[in-house]
Amino acid sequence: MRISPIHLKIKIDAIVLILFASLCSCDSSENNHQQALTLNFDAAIGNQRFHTGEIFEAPVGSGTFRIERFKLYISNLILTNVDGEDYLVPNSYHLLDFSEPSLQVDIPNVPVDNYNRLSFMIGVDEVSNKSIDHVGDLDPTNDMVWNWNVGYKFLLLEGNYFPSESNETIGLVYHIGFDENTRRLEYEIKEKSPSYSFRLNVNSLFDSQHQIDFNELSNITFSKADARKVADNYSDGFIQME
Amino acid sequence: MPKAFRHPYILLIGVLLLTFCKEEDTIVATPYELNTPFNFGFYDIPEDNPLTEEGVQLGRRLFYDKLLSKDQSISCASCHQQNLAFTDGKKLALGINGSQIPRNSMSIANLLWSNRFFWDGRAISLEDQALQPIENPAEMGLPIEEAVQRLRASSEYRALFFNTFGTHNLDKEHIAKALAQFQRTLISQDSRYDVFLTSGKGFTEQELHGLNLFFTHPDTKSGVRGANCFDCHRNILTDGFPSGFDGFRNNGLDNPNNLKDGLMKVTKSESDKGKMKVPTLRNIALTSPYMHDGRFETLEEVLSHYNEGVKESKTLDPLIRNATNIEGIHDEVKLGLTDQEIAAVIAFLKTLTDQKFIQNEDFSDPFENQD
Repeated sequence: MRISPIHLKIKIDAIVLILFASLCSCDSSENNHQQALTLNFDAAIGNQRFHTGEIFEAPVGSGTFRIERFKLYISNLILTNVDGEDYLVPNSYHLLDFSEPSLQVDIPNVPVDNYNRLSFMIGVDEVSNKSIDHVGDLDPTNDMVWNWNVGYKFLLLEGNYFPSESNETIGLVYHIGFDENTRRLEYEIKEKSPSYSFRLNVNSLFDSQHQIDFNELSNITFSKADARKVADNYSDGFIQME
Repeated sequence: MPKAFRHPYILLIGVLLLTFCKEEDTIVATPYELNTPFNFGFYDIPEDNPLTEEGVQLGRRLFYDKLLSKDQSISCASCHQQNLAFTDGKKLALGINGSQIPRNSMSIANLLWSNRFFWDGRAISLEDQALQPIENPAEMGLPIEEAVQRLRASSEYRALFFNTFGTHNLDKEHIAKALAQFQRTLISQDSRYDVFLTSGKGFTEQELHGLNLFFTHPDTKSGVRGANCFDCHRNILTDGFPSGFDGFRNNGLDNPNNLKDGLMKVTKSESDKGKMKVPTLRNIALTSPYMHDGRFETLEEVLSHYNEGVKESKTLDPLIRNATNIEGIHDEVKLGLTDQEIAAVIAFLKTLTDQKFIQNEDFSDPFENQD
């Protein structure tokens, strides 16, 4: 294959450009002391590993239940250093979809300075909750959308409940949204690591500050008082760092 | 130092030279510019099958060519007719020799945003889907090797495949890729609903009422009425959710004894029995009859099913089981919309019709205006 001089010239220019670009990129990453951070999430029901489609004991009262779909948004991850300064990870909106029991959230380029606290929000902040932009995992066509124009569900749990005393099946629908139901969860970092693991206990949603019996309350969607109960519960021991 | 530096430099030039040589040997097809509405969201196109002008044209030709059926009597387009938003108006699809397939032909609009195909979800990509109806003895009945032979025997197709994929060795993967490329371009985005989505205008009171019911899960405790359609038919696209198996639901058509396997055939899980693909509702007024077995002729029958005909089974979707507009109902599945509300939902569904889509010449039969 013959190469004309003009081709060679283009190639040399390209090489110079590539070398230059790679030098620049090295510089910037070294100055900022950044590294990737991984958050692992495992879902459980009591002491058992969570799986959709499997049958578990009801958390409150008698009977069994099966979950079809379980998802929640965590957002606005913040790292706080020893001086109390916050670093807010930009555009951090992550949908935890537990169609798989173990999930991994990768956060590129966080500053590795001396942070000793990590926090994130369950839910979506007011500004993004009113937007139809695709930011992070926010997607106005997914099943976390409340309505054709009204914000996101922060937590979605759908399934079927089989009471012990009858043959009937009761549909379980918990869609928790509304701006007032965001909750920030904070964790102390004792030993810094490139990855942290969290365990979610589904039972905590129903058996914590408030007890929610599937027999009495199988549907929580627009009732603000009921939604707040679940929000209180997810702020209290629902997601624990391991 | 100069030597050590020069060495990799020369290597790099070598690599680039090779790249250039390779490019000059192969045909490079023209990238196809896909115009998708911003509010339809993200989609994936397999890296090994980027859309090209040549590929889309080839796929369109294959889609309409009866050569791909055993007795050359039908093509993909026989069951997927453009004027009916790529359905056939029949209760059940017909294969070669008039054999009936136990499934209703699905509309194939906006499949770019879908993640699994067929009513039972057995295909994980459009490439994976494309060859199955050709090979299925009850559908087009042509063993794929025979299809390859037929196409190889045509000098015209040999040239078209070469111009698209740069190979003289056309194979079944190339047939699948071309068909998938054409299908990815079948985008319905010009309904009155799309105009409403971008302008907030153009809907009658009744259509607006229907839209609100469509997109609301009822909550009697809070006095919120809803038809909960969007619990399965998502916002904007109105098809099923494309994450995992979320786009497959048991919508209560049959009691446990008559429940078809559906998704269970794919996942082998009892908890998926009776779940079928949630189809798009785009152009729904054109795609009668409805459901996987075409059992309902009209939208009124469909709404009446959801309103008071839902059959119980273990895998009935909780969002259907749970949804009611009647206070105090507990042991019965009953949505309880009024006649006026049902009419409003149907009025909204009719705004999903897209005349431009069914008249778009890029999607039409390329053989029709030849010679």
